[in-house]
Amino acid sequence: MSSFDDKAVNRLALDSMALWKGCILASCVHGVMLAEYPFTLSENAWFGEIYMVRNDEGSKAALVFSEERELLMGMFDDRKSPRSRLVLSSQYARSHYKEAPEDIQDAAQALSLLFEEKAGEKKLPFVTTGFWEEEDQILSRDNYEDWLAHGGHILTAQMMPFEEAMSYFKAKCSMDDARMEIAARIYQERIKSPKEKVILKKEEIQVLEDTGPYNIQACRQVFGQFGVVFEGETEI
Amino acid sequence: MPTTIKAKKVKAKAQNPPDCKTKGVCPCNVFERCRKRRPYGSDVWSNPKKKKQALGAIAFDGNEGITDEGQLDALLTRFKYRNEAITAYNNTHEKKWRFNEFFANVRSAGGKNKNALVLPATNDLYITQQMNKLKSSMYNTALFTDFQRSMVARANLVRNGLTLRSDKYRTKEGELDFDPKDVFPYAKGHRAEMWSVDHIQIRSKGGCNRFCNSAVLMLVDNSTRNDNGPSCPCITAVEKKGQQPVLDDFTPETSETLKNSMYKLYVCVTYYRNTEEGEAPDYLPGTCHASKHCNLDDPRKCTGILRNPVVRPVYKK
Repeated sequence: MSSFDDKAVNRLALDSMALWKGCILASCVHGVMLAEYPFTLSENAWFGEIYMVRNDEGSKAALVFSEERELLMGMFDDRKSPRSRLVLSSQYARSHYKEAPEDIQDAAQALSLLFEEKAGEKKLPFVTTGFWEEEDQILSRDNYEDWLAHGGHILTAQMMPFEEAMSYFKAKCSMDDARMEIAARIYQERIKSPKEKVILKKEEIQVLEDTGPYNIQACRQVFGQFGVVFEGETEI
Repeated sequence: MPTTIKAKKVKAKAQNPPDCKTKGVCPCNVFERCRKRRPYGSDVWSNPKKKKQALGAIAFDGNEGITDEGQLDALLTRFKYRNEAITAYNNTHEKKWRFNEFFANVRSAGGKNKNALVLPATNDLYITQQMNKLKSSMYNTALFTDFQRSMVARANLVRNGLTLRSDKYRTKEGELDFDPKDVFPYAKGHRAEMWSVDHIQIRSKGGCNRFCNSAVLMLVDNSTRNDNGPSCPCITAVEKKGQQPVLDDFTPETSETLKNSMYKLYVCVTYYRNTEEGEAPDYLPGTCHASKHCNLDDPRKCTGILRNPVVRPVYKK
């Protein structure tokens, strides 16, 4: 019997590695499409091992991975969830991790800074659900359905298998075949060698530049966040 | 389909508009309304001069290159304060300043500043290709694609003198009214002042991702609106004071006529959530059948399209 069996927590059936791969794929797609659609700049980002995604309805999610790409924590702000209208306090984000060990609660408190929004005069963390890793399991105060309903769905594309996700991105991000190929290639390279730099070839850079000649610097920065560098450049 | 989501479970309750005397099913022919609604930006895309500008490159930054996120944030904040200051000036002075430099033409900026973010130049052929792709992936309760968002942004920018500006919302109830505001095109972090493309007819209530169901809203207003908006197509026309709604182009915010006109939101069917019992209708009233495509969606061809037939609404029996 696990030590958390007597707690009010639920196990979420999330595959860390699959989710990490999904996040990488979403990032690759974001990188290759950014030149044409620069307004998506802030919709997908990596800060070290923290992955952050925002959708165009104002909802966002953050996932914290270990260096071995294991999920450590997830935090969600779903603007379509009724919970987003709850009266908030500065400690509210922490309440989603109430059953977690103290260090995780502290980490959640820190992560919640990324979820702060103006609420009247104050800035408060808007968080509608969350999860954490404990004893190799992903735990949440919500069951899977509730987690999905109150924020998990923000990761719908990231949780899809590769083919399905590409099909989704093709439609949602208005991708053409050339950029789908580039995204797929760097994705495959990235997941094959997670700790190695992946090189975006000159001809691939040219494809991106053709779609948005002035935005290539932004592409470079975005790719650099998850270890993809432009050919001929060693620094990210 | 890749970009669809399931409609949430709801229990339908018919609620006729106050001026409707008919008993029974709401007589509003939502597809008649849909037929008459214009795709977002049709005022720009069907006007040759404006269209030319919309097809051109539009930069997000006037004179400075954007090299890091902190700089971008500072830049946006500066623009915001500057625009607020000029707005305040304009409100108290007869001579008005134009302050649409939030976005500047790339010719004066992008050439030197390769770091500035720019909506790249595009052309009719490319838009047609994208539009054809879109038709095969356009369904109810779907998100707007990046291509659609770029079309909406371009039209909005040109309409508003190269400033991205939210659209005016008015509801019959007056509870979810929003006035036009300058909005940020993008920003590091999550800024309440950012733009968003809103589903006028709420997505979770069956709102489709066609151009005629889109409008620009500030993100914070979009969040406030949440799922509380109408479930029927709603922006029908620009209503002129003292007249019935008439079909007309969307009017630029800067126009004098705006004082007497507004987008009118209509609600003729309201859905109430019912999480405990009842299933959602197979097809929500006011939505197209999932297997049929709406032909009313190319904002460049608004006039011709208005004469085309549309799919029939499917009501739950």
